[in-house]
Amino acid sequence: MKEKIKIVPNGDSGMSIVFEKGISEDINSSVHHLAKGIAEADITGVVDIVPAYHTLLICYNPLDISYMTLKEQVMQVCEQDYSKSEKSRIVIHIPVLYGGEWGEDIETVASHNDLTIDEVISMHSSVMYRVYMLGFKPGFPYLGGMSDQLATPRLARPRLKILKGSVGIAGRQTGIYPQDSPGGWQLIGRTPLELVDWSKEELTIIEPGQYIKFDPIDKEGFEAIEEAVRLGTYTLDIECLEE
Amino acid sequence: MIVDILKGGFQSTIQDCGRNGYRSRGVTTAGAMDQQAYKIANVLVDNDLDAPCIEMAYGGVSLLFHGTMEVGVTGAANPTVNGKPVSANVTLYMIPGDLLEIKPAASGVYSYIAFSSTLLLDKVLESMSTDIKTGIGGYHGRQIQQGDQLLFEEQSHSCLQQRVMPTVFEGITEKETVIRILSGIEYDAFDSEGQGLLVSEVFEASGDCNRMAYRFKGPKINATSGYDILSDGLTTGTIQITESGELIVMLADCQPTGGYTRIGNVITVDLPKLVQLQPQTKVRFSLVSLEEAHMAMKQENKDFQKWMKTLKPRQKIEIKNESNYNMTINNKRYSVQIVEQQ
Repeated sequence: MKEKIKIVPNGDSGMSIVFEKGISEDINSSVHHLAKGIAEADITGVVDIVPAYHTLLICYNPLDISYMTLKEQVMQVCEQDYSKSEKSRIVIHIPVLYGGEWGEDIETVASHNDLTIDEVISMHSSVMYRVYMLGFKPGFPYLGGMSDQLATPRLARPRLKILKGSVGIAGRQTGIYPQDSPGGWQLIGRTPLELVDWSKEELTIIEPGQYIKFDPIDKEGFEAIEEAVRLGTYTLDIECLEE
Repeated sequence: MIVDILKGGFQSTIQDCGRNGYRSRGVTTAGAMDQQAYKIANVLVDNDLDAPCIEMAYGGVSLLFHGTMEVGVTGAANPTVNGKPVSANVTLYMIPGDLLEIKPAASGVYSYIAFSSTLLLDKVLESMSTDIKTGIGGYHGRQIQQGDQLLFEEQSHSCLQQRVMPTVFEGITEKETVIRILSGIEYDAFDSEGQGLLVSEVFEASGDCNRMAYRFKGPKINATSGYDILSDGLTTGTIQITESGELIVMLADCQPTGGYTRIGNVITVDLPKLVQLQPQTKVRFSLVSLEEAHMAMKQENKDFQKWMKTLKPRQKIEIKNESNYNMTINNKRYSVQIVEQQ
């Protein structure tokens, strides 16, 4: 790994690996590759690994491993070459029913940006969005890559309840609500997929470092997928792209 | 075996060590706020150190026992059994019909009840901790309340010699609690004046303190390079300074990632002291090194191990017959269990 990194304590049970500051695919991909490498190294005393935009937090138990030993082991992982694995990207396809009662604010987004509803749908669904990290709430993806032409301010009055699966826009960001929650995002559609499954060890269908693409579906498609998800027969559409 | 919840208290939840390993999926760790009092409660009843307990804020819980088991009550609690005051921090022996009530203590916030019998609840992602915000874990993902029933595995007959918490774990009441901290990851975002105020001034716990975070009133600490950072992993005990100059310590229920400037981190050993601060209590923060923080942690662990070594294990009893009696002699209450052994 050639990037300049800084390894610093983050409390007495945390260690942060800080890359060059900024929201960049390259930096973020180095963060996730290092996170993977550290997970694979299976270092005694490490209790959690938390990749973010340009930082990686390692939570450890100081009674099991000293800060210095952990730092040495992390540096060994850093020295390994992970560039090969960076050559493929995994794209998770998320079916979305745009507009109507599923995306009440799509007209607001369209008129704010002088676009037609169809243009909003085609612009929103033609891009591959990078999942920089998951956080804030279980399964909530921080996505990057939305066209600035879709940027719309948040609602002046947040809604008390937004249904899970809702896809929205807030400023220059787009995202999916994994659970019912209050929120101020402009809603443009909804996916019938369950983003979080508490009975599964991996918990979320989206992993940080992957990409997602929104596929427009119609009402019949939404209902069919919703039923398949309920019955547990739905197969997630995952694409692996070699670069 | 059933325990009826006659009163749920102000905020009582099932908690354990917390849900570690899922921050990268956006999952809050939750877990007992005062990990020391929580662990001691489990030791008092010979449990594994990660067994689930009831955590209470300001007590208020009443439990009716329909079976025999030992309980350990620790933290900011004044327990009574059938209306009579009993000691906290020792093994208590419950028999069918016993009513355990937890009154709040004069100082402190959180208290714990550990049960020697196994609590029959499902784990979510390897933990029984209640995450109220998400609505998962513990008792149906929520606080326990009047009318709830806790179900336990039947306990085989055994004998546990009474255990007493050593004095080394007693909280020391001071006029001004001193909380030891490490410099935070954005410590340099504050000028020397701000860094100085953090350790020279007195801060006061505000009324806005809960399982997510404690807010403190004090001098406004200015960050020279802004208050927002790119979202990053958060650890329990992180001290953030917001744009309004508020000092916030992130705790068990905090979100796993956050975006405010971090001036410091409360050391793990002092987190129990911090969470037991009632509103309006005054504190000072004192800067220590990472080595000192780890030394303190090792010392606490050593004290624990030393205590554990003195304890007699639970003894299994093969029995033919048993009978339980409540006896009052000179106004003192005794529970007597007569066991006819094989």
